[in-house]
Amino acid sequence: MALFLEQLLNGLATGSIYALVTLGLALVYGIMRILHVAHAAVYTIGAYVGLLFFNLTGSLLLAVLGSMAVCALVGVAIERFVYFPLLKYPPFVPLIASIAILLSVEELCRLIAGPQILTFNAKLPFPDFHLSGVTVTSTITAVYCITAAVLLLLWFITTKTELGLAMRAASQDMAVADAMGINSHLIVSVTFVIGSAIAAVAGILVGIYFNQVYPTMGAIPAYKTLALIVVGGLGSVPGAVVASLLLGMAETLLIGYANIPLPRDALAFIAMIGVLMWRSQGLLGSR
Amino acid sequence: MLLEVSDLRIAYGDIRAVSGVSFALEKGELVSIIGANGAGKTSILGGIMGMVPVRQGGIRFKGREMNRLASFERARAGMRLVPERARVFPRLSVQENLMTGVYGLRRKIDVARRFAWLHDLFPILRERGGQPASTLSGGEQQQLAIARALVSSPDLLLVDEVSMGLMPKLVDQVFEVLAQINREHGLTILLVEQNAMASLAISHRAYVLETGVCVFEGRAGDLLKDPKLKAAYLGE
Repeated sequence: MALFLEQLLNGLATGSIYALVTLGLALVYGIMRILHVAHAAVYTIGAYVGLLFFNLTGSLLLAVLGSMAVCALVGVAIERFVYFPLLKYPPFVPLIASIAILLSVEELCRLIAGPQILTFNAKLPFPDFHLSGVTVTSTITAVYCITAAVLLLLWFITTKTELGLAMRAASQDMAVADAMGINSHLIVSVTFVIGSAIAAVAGILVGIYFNQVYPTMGAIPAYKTLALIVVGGLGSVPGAVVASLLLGMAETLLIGYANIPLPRDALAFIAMIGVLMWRSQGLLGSR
Repeated sequence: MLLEVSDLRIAYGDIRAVSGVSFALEKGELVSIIGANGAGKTSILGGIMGMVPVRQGGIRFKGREMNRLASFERARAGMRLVPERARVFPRLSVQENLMTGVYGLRRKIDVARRFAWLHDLFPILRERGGQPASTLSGGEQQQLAIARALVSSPDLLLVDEVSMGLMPKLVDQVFEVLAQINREHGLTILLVEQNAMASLAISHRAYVLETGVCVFEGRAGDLLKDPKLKAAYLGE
C-alpha cells in the first residue's frame, strides 16, 4: 500500500510537470490555432538558462526569474518573427517552422553547452514529508506547490482580470475582439509570454527533479504534450491539465507499479488514439 | 461630417467587392446602405472598421484619417460594430460579452450606469447574464451584439445585417430599438441591410448599392414613397 501511494504521488508529480509544459501549448493553440511544437525548445532553453544563472549567482530564485524572462523573450520572438508572418499560410506551414525551431534549438544547445548531460544540483527550498511510511521528497513537494501556484495564478488571470477576458475573447473570435478595441496581436504576444515563462519553470523543475539538463530533453515532451492537448481537447486549458495529471499517474502506476510491458512513452499515444476514436473533441474540449 | 468615405475600393484577390463608393454621415443621422446579397455591403463596413484591407479610398472619422489605423484603434476612436450574424463570443457569458465592449475603458466610463441602461433596453440580457452566449437564441444574440457595441457609448454604430435570420416580429423590435437610440440619444447609426423596407422605415437617408457601386442616394422617405424609385431599386 505504501509503495502504491508513493507511486501515485510520484505519478502526480510527473503529471504536474507535464501540465506545466502542456499549458503553454494549450494556451497558444487556443489563441492562434498553431501546434507550437517549439514550445519544447523554449522549455529546454528554460532549463539551460536556469542552470547557467544558478551556477553564476548561486540563487535559485534569480535562476528561475532570469530563465522566465529569457524564455518569455524567446517565446515572443518565435511568435513575432516566425508564426505571425506565416499565419496567412495553411496550418502545416507554421507547424513545419515550429519543428525546425525545435531542432535548431537542440543543435544550438549542443553547440554551446556540449552534448553531455549537465547536472542541476540545486536543493529546492521545500520540506520533506513522512506520513505513515510514505515519503514525499522536497522536490516532489516543490513540484506540487509550484504547479498549484502556477495553475491558481493562471486561473486568476484568465477568469478575474481584464487581460484574461481579452485573452478568452481573442481566442474565440480575434477579428471581433479587435473590433471591440482589444489589441489582439498584443494579447497573443502576452499569451506567449505567459506560456513561455511557465515553460521556463517546468524546464528548471525537470532539470532538478531528474538532475539532468541535456540538448534533446525537449524531444519527448515535444510530441507528448502534442498528444496531451489532443487528449484534453484542443485549446482547452483545463483539459490539458487534467490530461497531463491523468497521464502522469497512468504512466507511473501502469508501467512502474503494475509492470505492464509497454514503453512508458507509448501510453500518451494509446490515450490519444483512444480519444480520437471515441471522443474526438477530447476530454474537456467542445466540438 | 462624422464619417466620410470617399471612393472606397475593396477586392478579395481578383474579385472586386466594392468599386468606388462614396458616402458621408452627419452626426445624429441614421443612414441605410441597402442592396442585395453580394452587393458589397458587409465589405464596406469591414473596410470602415479595418477588418478587411482597403485597396483604395479614404475613410475619415471625426476628421481623422482612419486608413492606417488598426481595427482596435478605430474602435477606440469611437466606432463600434454589430457584426453580421451577431458573432458574440460563444464561450463567454452574456455579462462577459458586454464587458469586452468596455475593454480598456472601465475607468473612463460609468460602466454600472451603462449596464443598467442596456439591461433596461434588453431585459433578457440581465436574466441571462451568467449564461454562455452560445446558449442564447438568434434574436437574443443579436440583442447582445447590439448591447456589446453600445456599452462604450460610441459616436458611431455600424450595424451589419441585423435582421438576417430573425423572425419578422423580432426584426421590428430590433429596428425600433435602434430608431429609439438614434432619436433619444442622438447616436449616429449606419445600417447595412438586405431588408430594405424595415431599414428604410427608420432611416433618414439611404444609399442603394448594386454590385459594388452606389446607384442611388437620397432621402429614405423618397425611396419608400416614389413608385418609380421603388420599382427601380426595391424591385417592387
